[in-house]
Amino acid sequence: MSRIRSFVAVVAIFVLGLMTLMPAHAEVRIDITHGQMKPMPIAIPDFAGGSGQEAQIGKDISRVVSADLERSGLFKPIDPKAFIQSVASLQVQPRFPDWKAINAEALVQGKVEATGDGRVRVEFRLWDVLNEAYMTGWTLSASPQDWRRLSHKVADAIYKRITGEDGYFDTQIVYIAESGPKNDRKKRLSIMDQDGEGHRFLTDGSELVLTPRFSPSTREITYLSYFKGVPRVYIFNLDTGRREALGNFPGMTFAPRFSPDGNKVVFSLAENGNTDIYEMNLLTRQKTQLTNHPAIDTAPCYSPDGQQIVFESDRSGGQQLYVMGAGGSNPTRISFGDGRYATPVWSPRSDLIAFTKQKGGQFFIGVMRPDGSGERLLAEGFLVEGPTWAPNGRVLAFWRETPSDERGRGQSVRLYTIDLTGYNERVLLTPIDGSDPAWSPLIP
Amino acid sequence: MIAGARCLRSLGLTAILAAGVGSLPQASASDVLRTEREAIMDRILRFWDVPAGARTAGTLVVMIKVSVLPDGTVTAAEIAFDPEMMLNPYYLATADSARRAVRAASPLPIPADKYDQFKDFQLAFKPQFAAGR
Repeated sequence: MSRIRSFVAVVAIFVLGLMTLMPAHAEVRIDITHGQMKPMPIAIPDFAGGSGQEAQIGKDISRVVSADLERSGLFKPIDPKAFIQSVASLQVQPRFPDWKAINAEALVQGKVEATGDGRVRVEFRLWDVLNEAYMTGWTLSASPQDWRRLSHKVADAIYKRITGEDGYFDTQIVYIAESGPKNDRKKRLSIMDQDGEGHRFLTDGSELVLTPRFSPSTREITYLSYFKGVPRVYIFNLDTGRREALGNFPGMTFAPRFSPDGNKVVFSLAENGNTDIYEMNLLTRQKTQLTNHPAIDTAPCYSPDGQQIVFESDRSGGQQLYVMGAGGSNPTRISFGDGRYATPVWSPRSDLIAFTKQKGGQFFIGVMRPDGSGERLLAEGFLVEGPTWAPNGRVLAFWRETPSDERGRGQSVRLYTIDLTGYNERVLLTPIDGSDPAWSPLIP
Repeated sequence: MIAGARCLRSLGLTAILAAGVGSLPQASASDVLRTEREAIMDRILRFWDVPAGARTAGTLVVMIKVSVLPDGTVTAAEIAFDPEMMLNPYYLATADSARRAVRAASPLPIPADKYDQFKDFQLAFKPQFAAGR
């Protein structure tokens, strides 16, 4: 009995203790499940610089960072005319009330200094104005000629810290520059930064070139070129400027694309009147047939983990999308909507496949999940084609052909970008007409 | 548990136990009118810019501990530590955006007669369904 009394006493003490420890009222919790989707107001003053060259680089960096972030559709750089705090005093300490007064939510502070060895050191910091807190920053030194890449790296760091996703600004786009009349079009392999700057032609236009694609290292491009009227797959080295034929096949090769590890190229090969998908090991030069079907199988693209391949085929009658194992196993149709589907490209994030769709005389750029569900059309036009993903999987580039006049005479072919919301479509300016873009991974 | 309660009753402690349980705090939802919580929610969501990446970040939930003055002025908006903070790349971006929303929404519509319940409360930000993709 005494043991029971002891037990009861312990329980009573426990209950009373619990009552003492608990607050008079449990804390209120409120769920926030809705929000806004509007560009963030951000202040990007000139980066401070001492001498003439440093000051100029500071202004240029600020301009490029602003342009990168604005184009993403997720940021709204504030007009510098509204700034209250000077660049010089900002270097001492941000005066947050001055930036709150102009509705800035984020503030970029930076400076450029010569290091004495012909290089410049660029320092930047990102501030959260409303919380009056440091968010991120770094210091890098580089050749003054590399100020554009430094600018894109600053923009990437800001983008990542604010959105939680990797940036895509320190990247390049390779595409086909087009000129001349429609029946005698000159097509040149060309490359530029993702914002259209740093443009250069890689081939002289004497041979027709098509479907350029970046290697994962960003230093090689695979593309199609007609040699003596026969299409062949080539690999172009950006560092050496040399090109090499992928193989000497009896038929015609099309639609080359690197594997995610860069060791293989997958392509389609037309032989004896039939087109199937093959891959080539770049180390052993061994060719392996992946599909064997009397239908036309083409436009293959690996999943980011290299375990699957999406491709287009007319084996069910019309052009549709299929996914199979990387070795060619178990091809499964994934597109079932009205119309024809082509040029599938797997997102670097794995979550979506972009495609071109033709329906009712119009073309569309769209995305669907790898199992074919969740189809969404993002862009449309008389002719839109050839989607390519930015490395963060949030933005697509594609090309659009439009008749130059109301009677459909002439043509204009331009590059565009659009984000996954489908609302932020932008023209990607090129010196002359451009088609078939391919977006590089982030440059190491 | 039943045996323990029987023992308490046998010792005349039933009343203490009953009184204790009865005075324990009930679920906050029963104390706080839904409209009062919704007023705060409506105010905050007008200022929450959901990070682009966080919308696809699965079932991410960021808890922010908020302290206010009787007039609703926010005096603190702190991130409640969560082990996921170290694992989810979108956590920090979401947490920062949540804190900015709370600061921007200050003063909050705190019910004057229930300041004791609202002087410190928690907001659970759930970006999954917060905006279109």
